[in-house]
Amino acid sequence: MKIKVRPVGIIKKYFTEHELVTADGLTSEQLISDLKIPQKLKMVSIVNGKGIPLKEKLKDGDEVILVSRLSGG
Amino acid sequence: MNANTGKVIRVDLNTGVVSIETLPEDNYREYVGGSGLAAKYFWEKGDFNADALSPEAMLIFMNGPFSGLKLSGASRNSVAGRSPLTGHWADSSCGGFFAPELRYAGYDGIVLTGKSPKPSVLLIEDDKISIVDGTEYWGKGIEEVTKELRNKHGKTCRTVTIGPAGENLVKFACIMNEGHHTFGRTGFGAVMGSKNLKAIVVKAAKKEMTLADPEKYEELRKELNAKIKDALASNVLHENGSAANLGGGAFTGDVPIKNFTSNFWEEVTDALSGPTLTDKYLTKRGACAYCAIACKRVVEVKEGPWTIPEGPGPEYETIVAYGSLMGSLDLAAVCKANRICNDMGMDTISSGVTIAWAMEAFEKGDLTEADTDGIQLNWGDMETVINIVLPKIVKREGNLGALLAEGSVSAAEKIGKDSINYTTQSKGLEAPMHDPRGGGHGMALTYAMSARGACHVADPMLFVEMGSCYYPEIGFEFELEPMTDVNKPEAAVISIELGCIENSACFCQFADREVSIPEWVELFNTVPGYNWDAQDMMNAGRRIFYLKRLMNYRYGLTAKNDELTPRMLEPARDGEPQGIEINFTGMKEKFYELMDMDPEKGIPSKAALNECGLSQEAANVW
Repeated sequence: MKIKVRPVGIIKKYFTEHELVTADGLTSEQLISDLKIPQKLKMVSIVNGKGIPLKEKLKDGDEVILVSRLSGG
Repeated sequence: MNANTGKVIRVDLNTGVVSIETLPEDNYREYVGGSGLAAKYFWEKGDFNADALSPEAMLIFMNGPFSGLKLSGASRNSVAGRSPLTGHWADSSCGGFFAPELRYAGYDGIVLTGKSPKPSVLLIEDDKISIVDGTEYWGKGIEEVTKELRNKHGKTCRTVTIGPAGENLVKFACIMNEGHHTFGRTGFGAVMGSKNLKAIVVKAAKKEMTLADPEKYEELRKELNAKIKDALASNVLHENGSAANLGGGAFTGDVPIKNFTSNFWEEVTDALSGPTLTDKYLTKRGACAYCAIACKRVVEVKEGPWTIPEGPGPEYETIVAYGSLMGSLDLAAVCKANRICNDMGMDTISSGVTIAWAMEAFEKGDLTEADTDGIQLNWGDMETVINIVLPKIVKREGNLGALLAEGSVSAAEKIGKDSINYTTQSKGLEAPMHDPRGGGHGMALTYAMSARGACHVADPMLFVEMGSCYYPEIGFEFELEPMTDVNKPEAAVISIELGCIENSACFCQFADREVSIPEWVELFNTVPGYNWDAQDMMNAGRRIFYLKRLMNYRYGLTAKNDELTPRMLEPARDGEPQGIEINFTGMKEKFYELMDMDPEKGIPSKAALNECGLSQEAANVW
């Protein structure tokens, strides 16, 4: 399947916006791991404009925005 | 006594009499320092009937036990007393350089009462303490006064100063250290102004301190400094400041927009973020004393309508308050507004929130041109905010200046028309720039429980709900989902107890995220030498929380004041939290049960107070 991934905020350090051809059944959690984003960054996956559980499977054509929940000041 | 000096400077500004007071060692062990120790002092010696801006009002600066110990994040201090903004107990914390210098001079705190007959400066040079004429500084901005004080008293002196806003008793006036570090919240700049005290200057000749176990502490200090410096979050903060991940907050619904009417505005992600500030305006980074994180920003805006020379730059709170909260994406305008607020001495959160509320009130017609002296208050119109509104607030000029200088609650009560419902505050303190609807429902609870009012730094709940804190040694291993109420009251209990320790120890919340519970305990055991275990430490945290509850009860607050406004609790209209209800009442009831607090009075039960060693205090309220 083909998905589009986009980083927001501090996640831009780990990858740039790109399209990705991947095996069916990939989850956001696996995607985050493949992109070597540290677990400490407490990731949120927003798919087609709505947050989904990290263990939920992505689908062909999904637009995935990855953001870290860490925020502050 | 180890670490602490046991001495506070007591100043009666009516008479000019200065004395040194020795505090019992038990007070330190039981209330740690900072805001906790200040609360204990005020409980015993403060006048609860005194108006916050009267000469009888007591203003307390208090250090923590780790001030000056060359440990990242450990050299903050607190100012405390009755807030002129909220009318009840409050404290405000500041980083920078004042705390270590005060400690080196030989003091843990300064207690001020009275009113000087003319503008004055308190000068502390080790054993020599004097009140000197400050007339030449009155009316001047903080930047200029800080420079003049350093020219006069030497480059090594450290200062805290108020600006014209404090002199004019603007209710959210702040106190600044070195013009860059801020006791921002709850209006203590106005208290200094009411006392005719423009500044405090401290200068120490030596840097000697006595510790319980200096060798063990030195080992721990090196470990912690390395750990704090190397942490992923520290690197992020160093590189792009506290707004480094503002974009992440925008997508999760944490960043408030247009007076909390919206939880999503994609454009803020790039327009207002820390990396954008770095790229466009950053000239260098700055740090508080001995801190390896160095999250402070120094900026310069070279072109456009908001040019400013190199100087202090905005942090996350200011960027949102003077950005998305007002419907603006203009980061240069944020830099300019921040510089004005710093120089005039105003809290950027309360001022920003009050102005954003006024914009909505104007849009709704609740605030009319008769109220605003004919000025239009429109979303995103930063030219009006910077050139007209801010100067009017500082001078309390016209109807608009007089109205907004009192803060959003007072302004809403004055204009009526249900405009109080869309203020964003708790207990009269304007909320910071984390919207609990997206940031985390537990934060709605802790905003409401914070003694000073809506606050994100009274406790680490913000970080707890992000999932960046685990404390297995004290039973905290919750996996929390931000936008639910599950386990939030339980998490809030531990978070609040720990927050009371952090704020009494005067420790930065960024640096503290890297300090484990055993390391915290080790700090207390090697520095002041308390021989504590984790439970002893957490008991002190609960004791401090309980005492502040009692103090607010004496100011007339009860359980009904532990609330958020309708705007803050209505389901979000867009973004990630859209449509989700916060179970605020359920969380509050459970929290009260866990903390053994009376559901009407809002104070701990007599038994709970007795168990915490507060039996004398209990007799005062039960």
